[in-house]
Amino acid sequence: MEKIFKVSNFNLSYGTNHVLKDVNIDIYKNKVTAFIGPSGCGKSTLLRCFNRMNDLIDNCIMVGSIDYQGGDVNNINAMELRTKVGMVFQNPNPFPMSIYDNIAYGPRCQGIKSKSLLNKIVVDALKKAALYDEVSGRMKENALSLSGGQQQRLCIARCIAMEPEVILMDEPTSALDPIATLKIEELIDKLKEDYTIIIVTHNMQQAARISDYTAFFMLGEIVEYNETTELFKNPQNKKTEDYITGRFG
Amino acid sequence: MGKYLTNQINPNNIKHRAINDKITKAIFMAITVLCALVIVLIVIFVFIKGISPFINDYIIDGISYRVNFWGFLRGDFWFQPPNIYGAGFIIINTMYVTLLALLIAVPTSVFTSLFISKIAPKKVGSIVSYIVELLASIPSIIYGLFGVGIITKIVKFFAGLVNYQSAGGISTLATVLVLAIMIIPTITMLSTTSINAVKKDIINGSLALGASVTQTNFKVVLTSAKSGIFAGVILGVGRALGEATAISMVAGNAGGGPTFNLFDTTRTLTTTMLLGLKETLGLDYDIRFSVGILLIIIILLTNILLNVVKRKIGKVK
Amino acid sequence: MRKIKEILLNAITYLFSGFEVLVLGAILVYIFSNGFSSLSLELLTGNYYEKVETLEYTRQETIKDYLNPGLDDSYFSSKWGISFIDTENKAGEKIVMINYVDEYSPLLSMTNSSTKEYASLVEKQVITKVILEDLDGNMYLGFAKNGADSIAEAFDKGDIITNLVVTTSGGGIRGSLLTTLYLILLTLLIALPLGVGAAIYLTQYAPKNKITSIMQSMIDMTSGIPSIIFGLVGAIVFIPFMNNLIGSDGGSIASGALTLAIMLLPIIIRTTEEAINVIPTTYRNASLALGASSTQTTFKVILPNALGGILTSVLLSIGRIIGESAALIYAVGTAIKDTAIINQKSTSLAVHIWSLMSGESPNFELSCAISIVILVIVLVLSIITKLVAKKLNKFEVE
Repeated sequence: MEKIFKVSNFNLSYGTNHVLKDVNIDIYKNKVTAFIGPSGCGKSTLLRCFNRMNDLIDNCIMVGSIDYQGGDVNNINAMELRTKVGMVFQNPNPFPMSIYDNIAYGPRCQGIKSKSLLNKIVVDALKKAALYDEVSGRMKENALSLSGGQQQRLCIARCIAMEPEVILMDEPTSALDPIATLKIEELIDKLKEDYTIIIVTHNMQQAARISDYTAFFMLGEIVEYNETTELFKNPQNKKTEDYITGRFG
Repeated sequence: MGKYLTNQINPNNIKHRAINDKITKAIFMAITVLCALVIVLIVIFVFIKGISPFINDYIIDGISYRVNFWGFLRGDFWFQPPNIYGAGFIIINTMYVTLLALLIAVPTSVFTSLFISKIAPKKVGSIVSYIVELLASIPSIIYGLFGVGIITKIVKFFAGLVNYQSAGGISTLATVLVLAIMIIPTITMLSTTSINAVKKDIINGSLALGASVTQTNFKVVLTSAKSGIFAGVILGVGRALGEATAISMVAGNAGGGPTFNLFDTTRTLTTTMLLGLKETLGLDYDIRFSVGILLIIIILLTNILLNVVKRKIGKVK
Repeated sequence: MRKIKEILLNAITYLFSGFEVLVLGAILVYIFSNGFSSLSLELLTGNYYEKVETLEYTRQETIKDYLNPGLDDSYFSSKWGISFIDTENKAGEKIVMINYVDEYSPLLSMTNSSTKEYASLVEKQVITKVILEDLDGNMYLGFAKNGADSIAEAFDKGDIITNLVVTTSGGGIRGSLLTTLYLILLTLLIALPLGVGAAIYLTQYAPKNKITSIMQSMIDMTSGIPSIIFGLVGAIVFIPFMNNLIGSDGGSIASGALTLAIMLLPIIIRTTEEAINVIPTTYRNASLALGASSTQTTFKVILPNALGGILTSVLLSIGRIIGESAALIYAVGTAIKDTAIINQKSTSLAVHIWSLMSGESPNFELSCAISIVILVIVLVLSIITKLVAKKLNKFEVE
């Protein structure tokens, strides 16, 4: 199995707050990897390191390395990295623009001007995000007129339009109702054929349902990392077992 | 999976944008530094020009002169030819006029804002509030015009009542009234915001203890809002000290002083700077910058002092 | 006892608030009663300075017979198609005024005796004296002191006009109106890019350290400086600067604009910062996560959504420019002009009032008329600002 991300002895601190401690993990290509664990344990922080969104935070000190496709992420231009490693956020955040413009935003920033090419990209992305049928007639409408679930799928479409290799998802369904959540989980299952997906989730059942690999975080460390079925059936670490069975969390 | 985008991306595009980012950030930073330096520019230039009468020689009618600095600070007469300038009394006048204006403006503003927020029915309150906003946006020249047209007439009338000969109403009292009217809207608007921000819990707590609405309003609400009200007062003081156009039309620009009699004409730092401008060269022009330095210092000191008081008021809750 | 005290306290608040309302009422009544009668289109478009010209009409043409419009108390010359009326000027002196000129009248194409340029007679102009000649060379004189009928008679007798002294009254504020407009445009042209740029830097790019907060404080402090000090700075910095740059001599609209620009920077910066801070940070994150550069994020996502706040700052600035007087008195000057040229002195509306009031004979009526113009503009601005603020709120409630 091909490794797409390789994290070695990675530490991160916000000021004096040591958030990630000696993290080592390999992310496999075209698999869904889930990060689970109690609040504040560093899962989202690590996720944000994969597309260098932590660069935006002052006072963030990182020691160790994260390799993407063999090269350190810090050696790649951040913009370029983000075209290959996309992100979907917890609260759906489509721009206050039309549906079309939202999806065309990324490609336009890359310099694509051709209307016909943009049209192809937008339609293709909407289809892949299972949203096209619902919005095909109203692409010029403001994106904020969509429901929460639709907005999130729009954000996924927006991300897909950039043709990334990896999609990072930071609790993508925690703000959505169960039906919308289900739709997105189905989508993730389809997407993993073409993309590597790393998903941070509070919802263990979700992790068990959709991921191939799961990493359990606690207090900034990865306690256990294994194939999902193994981790949930035979957790090797007692802390993992306690969390899964709901003794804390 | 169709790949439309990846083959179309120009690899130089990212490099260009990265360079753009650096340039843009540098430009924005330069702009910000420029904006921040404005105040430095102001202080330096006013200072350079204003210090000149005391350290440079001015040739008047063939003889060179300087102005005596301590005489300037203590003087009770503005100008005695050829080179004696005194601004001491002007400083006293400025503080005096501002203080009196505050005495009128602060109670008026506080009571008015209580009225707007708590005592008046909603519709009436918002009308009065809008009226205050309108008053706040009237330019000072129009207040000056109103001062000359109406307020001086009123002052002249009252001077007549006590048989005092005023200069057609141009007087300290007119100055004080005009200033008060001008700063009331400022203080009122800030006080209203403050009073509106007082938490419902505090009000309900007072009412639950058996206090009447009026008691609550005057004791509890006002006390809770005092920080914001005081902030409004500080703003009002700043405005009063710096007001030039309006009071230049009603003050009279007295030659000496200080003036405490309300019906006599007076002279403030700002009226000194604005009135009597003849040439743009020479001692008479430069000395106005010296007055400008005094004004800046007084505003600065007053602000510092008032902010210290504001912090103390904030502590005694 | 307590009840009485409470009623008293409440009554006091009514009293003080009533005082406020009274003040506004008094100001409005005073300004409008004194100024309303002077308001007219001529006021807004006319020159301030009176113009006295000597005109002539020496072409000999077939004399037409013009139709008398039949205006009250007027005297009509059917030969020339012009009607005169006896009236009084502002000082109460008797004058003869033109109150009708036929659209085909030859008096629309007279010649100015000194400049030889075309001139035409219009309504409201005042005739002082006229000398005509008929084809036989006889002279006919008309003097205003003899009344409008004598002037009309002289016109009817003569065939060419050798000398006509006509006064176009002044008191118009066109020069000051144009100056105010130019000031607004020029000031905003300078201040907006700088102010918005600084706001963008402070909210999007600046690191959260001491230097940044010092810069922010310095900008905030600038708003506490009285406008007359800005005038002083304008006088010693921008006037010489503009003298060198655009060849002005002393104050100019340009030096005034620069002075106003630095005065308005804190307002523009603060208002724009507030507008930007309302925009959810998640938009910025989303943009960057899609591979956009900071510049693209700023211009495609942040700025378009901050437009409401920027517009508000523009409206606030316009209000301040219109009302500003002390700074412009120093940084431009107080010379009233009939034209507005960027590298020359002129007065804004507010400074025009100052000039009118600071001479030996203050002109209350014209000052109040100008005040009405200012107040109307300020009122309209405040209404527009409220509407814009309402539109802004729509964005926040999402």
